[in-house]
Amino acid sequence: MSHRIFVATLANNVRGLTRSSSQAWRLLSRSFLPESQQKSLLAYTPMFHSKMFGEKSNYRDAHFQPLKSTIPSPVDDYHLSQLRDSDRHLDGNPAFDRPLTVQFCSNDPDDFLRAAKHVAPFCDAVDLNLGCPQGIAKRGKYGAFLQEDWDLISRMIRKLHEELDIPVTAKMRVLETPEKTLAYAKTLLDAGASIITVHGRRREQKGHNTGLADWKMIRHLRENLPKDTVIFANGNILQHEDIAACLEATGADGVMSAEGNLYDPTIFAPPPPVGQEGREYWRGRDGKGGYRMDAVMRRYMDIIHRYALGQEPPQRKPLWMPGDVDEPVEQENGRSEDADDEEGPPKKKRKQMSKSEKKKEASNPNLTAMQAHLFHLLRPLVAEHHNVRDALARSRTADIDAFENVLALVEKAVKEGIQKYELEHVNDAAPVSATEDTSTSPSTEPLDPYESSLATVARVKRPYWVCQPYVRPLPKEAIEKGSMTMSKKEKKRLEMEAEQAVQKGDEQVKDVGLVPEGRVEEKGFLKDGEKEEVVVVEEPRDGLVCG
Amino acid sequence: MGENISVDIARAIKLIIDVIRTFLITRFGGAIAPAKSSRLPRRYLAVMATESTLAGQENERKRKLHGRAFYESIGSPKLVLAPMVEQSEFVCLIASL
Repeated sequence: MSHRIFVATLANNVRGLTRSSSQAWRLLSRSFLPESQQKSLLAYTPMFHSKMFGEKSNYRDAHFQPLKSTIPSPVDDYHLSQLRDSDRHLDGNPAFDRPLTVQFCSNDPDDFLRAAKHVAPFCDAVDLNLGCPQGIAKRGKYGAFLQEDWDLISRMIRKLHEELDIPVTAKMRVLETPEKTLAYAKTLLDAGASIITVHGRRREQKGHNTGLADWKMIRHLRENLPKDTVIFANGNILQHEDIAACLEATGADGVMSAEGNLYDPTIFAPPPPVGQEGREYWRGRDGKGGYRMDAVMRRYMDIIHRYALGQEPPQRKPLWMPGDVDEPVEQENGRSEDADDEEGPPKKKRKQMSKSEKKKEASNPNLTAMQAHLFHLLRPLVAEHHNVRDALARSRTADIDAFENVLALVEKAVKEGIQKYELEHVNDAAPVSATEDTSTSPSTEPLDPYESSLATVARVKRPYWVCQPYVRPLPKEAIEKGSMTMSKKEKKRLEMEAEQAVQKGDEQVKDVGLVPEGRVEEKGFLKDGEKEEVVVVEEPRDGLVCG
Repeated sequence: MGENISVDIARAIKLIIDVIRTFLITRFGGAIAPAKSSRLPRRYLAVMATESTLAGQENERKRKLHGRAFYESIGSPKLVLAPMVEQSEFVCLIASL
């Protein structure tokens, strides 16, 4: 087998799992909305590098798969006329992945247009990222580091506005003053941006200096831009309740959730009414709850099976919930077909895989994206159940069975947690109606950042088995909190624990390849001829939102 | 399945005819009487009509909308899922082997 054919074969096998991770996550996020609302969630793709995307077909194929075949280049009417609906693949598929905006970073109008033309037939709009604050964006001169060069930004947006078949939108950060921010937003709109997404943080606000997004600045834009301007607000969305608060405070048309969704993909879904939790949602006696991690991971795994691997997911028993009768012994052989047995602990019934399937998955060496998503989703759970953490960490290069095993462990951990909770609260009243205290939502908090983030931690904290945002308490307030309620000794112990937990968390994140400062990859791409050209591509930090 | 094959055959025949016609015109000049493509059996045409091409769909929305009109055309979404940083450069890495 020639070297190049081997590479192509391998790449094809890998394509499925690696690339569809973000598409699978979009599907997962939509799946929690009522059917009628699934189309009312506008999703953005990850940010692609416009120069690479426009020039390298293998970069395109690796990052965006609207078709089962490669994206035709150029994408003209003739090529499109040769395509049929049945040629569509995952990204931008009208059946389940729309509306969709494809996002690029760019610093050249021609690059931007060339890249955009390749995706225009498969999405609803193209977005220019002007918000990425990371060091690599600085070195590559894109993202938020263009915000001094309004002329270049205008030329890029105008180019697409005039020459692309679909609308162009832009995502910006706020600047130092309301006046400057308004002038900046006007520049984007005048150049032809159909929608502006405004992140309420300045470029400097990242890492430890993240702080709170400034919703007032977005409000200022709303009140001073023409009334029909479409504005999306971005920042401070930690849980579902924050969406309504943000719409109210900013007057924006839509709310974009970034990291909030990464930790809690159910964030867009309204909680079910009290008494209608079903098996997937858990509500505590205090009325606070969330979607169960085992339920969410099941859905995620099913999507991976169905869309990335193209196979039916294994049959699953109904999720365990309090009141179910425990079946004491694992059923190894006999009675294996009573799948519709409603009662009983979650047991994996794994479909026996054919040899060829196993081989295919063995050549699917990189499940890093799935793993990273799951570490975010399961963060509070793996902090308490180290067996789950270890199993997930080991799943890095393993096949789908390893992840199924993690799911089984997650189901067990969730069950343990809920059972313990039930025992401890056996005499409490039934769940009350959820009384989220909206007065503590970020917009109306007059507290200093330390105190407000302390309040935020308290507000969003949930038991480890339900999805929740991750808010790292600042060291200062952790100490303050301790001194108010605990003895010195106890305080010391808790501080140590908290520190270790945070460190451990960071290690886990590093373990799965989420390096803090992004990564530099040297990638060779075959240029027109046979000569190999090494292109250094810096990609932003994994698992974070770039804007 | 059977229908799809028939469609493909029908398409292939049509394509071959088109190529021959184009060749004749470019080689000898002049014009040729219009093709009687409607001679294809009706059932083929019916099947072909059920599957629209992507180009056909794009033509339907050729008129590019802007601003709020565009926003409303996609259902005035209030919820927006942000771009996440791509977590897989592995394929690129292999491609560079």
